[in-house]
Amino acid sequence: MLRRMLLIRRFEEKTGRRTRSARSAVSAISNIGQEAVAVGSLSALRDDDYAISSYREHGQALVAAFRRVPSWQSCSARRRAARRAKGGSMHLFDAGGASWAATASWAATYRSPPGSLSPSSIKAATRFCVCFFGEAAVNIGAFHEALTWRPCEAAVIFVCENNRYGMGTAFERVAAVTDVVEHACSYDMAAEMVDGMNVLTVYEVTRRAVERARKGGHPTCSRSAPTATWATPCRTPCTACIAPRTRSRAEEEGPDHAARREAKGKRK
Amino acid sequence: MIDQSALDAMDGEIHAVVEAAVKFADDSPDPDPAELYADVLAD
Repeated sequence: MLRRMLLIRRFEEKTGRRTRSARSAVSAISNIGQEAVAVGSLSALRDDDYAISSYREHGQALVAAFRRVPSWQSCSARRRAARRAKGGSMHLFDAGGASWAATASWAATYRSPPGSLSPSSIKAATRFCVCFFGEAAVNIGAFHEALTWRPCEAAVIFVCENNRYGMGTAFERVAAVTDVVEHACSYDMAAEMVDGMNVLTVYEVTRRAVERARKGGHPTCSRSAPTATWATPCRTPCTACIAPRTRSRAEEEGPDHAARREAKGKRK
Repeated sequence: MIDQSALDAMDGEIHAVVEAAVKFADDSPDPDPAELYADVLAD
């Protein structure tokens, strides 16, 4: 995992330098600071599972589907770009082996998981789709549509990479509920906090979510939160995970969530 | 636990990998202008 995280970091440092010096033909969105989320979560999946990422996806791409060369080809818009795509680094897509894709449309990732999974794999819960999104993207309707869409239950793991800024806007300024994990209760999903800076924790939480899903639970939404990057200042860690529920709510949610609910009740 | 020299070795190795990938991309040709509209709209 360390090797993968280091590869992402060095790749992104190089990408950043090249973009700033205008030696790459297209712009690139840095994954620096969020390596642990990409590596930890995708390490818990099998090769034939799906992953759908937002546009900050180089990390996931390097882990999940692409070797560094096609990624770099795409970043520099060269002829042998990954899958001959034209979109550059925000539109990496691999319909071949590992079935991984990114979409640059803001908050569009939610719509992809149901479409990427075949009915049989949903039913048998044999393949999973991890859907990455940023915390600011929960303000769009598609987020709520995806979470309430029951046919894909047990097959999708939602991972929120919470870096506290939607582009340059602090999440607190645009959201009434700033703890993304709170949204989970509206859709009967269990929730779990995860430190997005800790690759082992992210791995463990994703592994547990997949396990629960295999047993036949609800979709999983994990919210992880990175970090400090040079791209956007003031990013701070904080993380959570919403996992499928198969047993009692308290059991699945863990002591932290139960305690918070209790505290909330007392306030009322 | 991994020690500092092993870390340095890994970092150096990854640095070389990234440099090689960049060089490969740089050495690759730009897309042919004739391909501009290929795969954009249904034929």
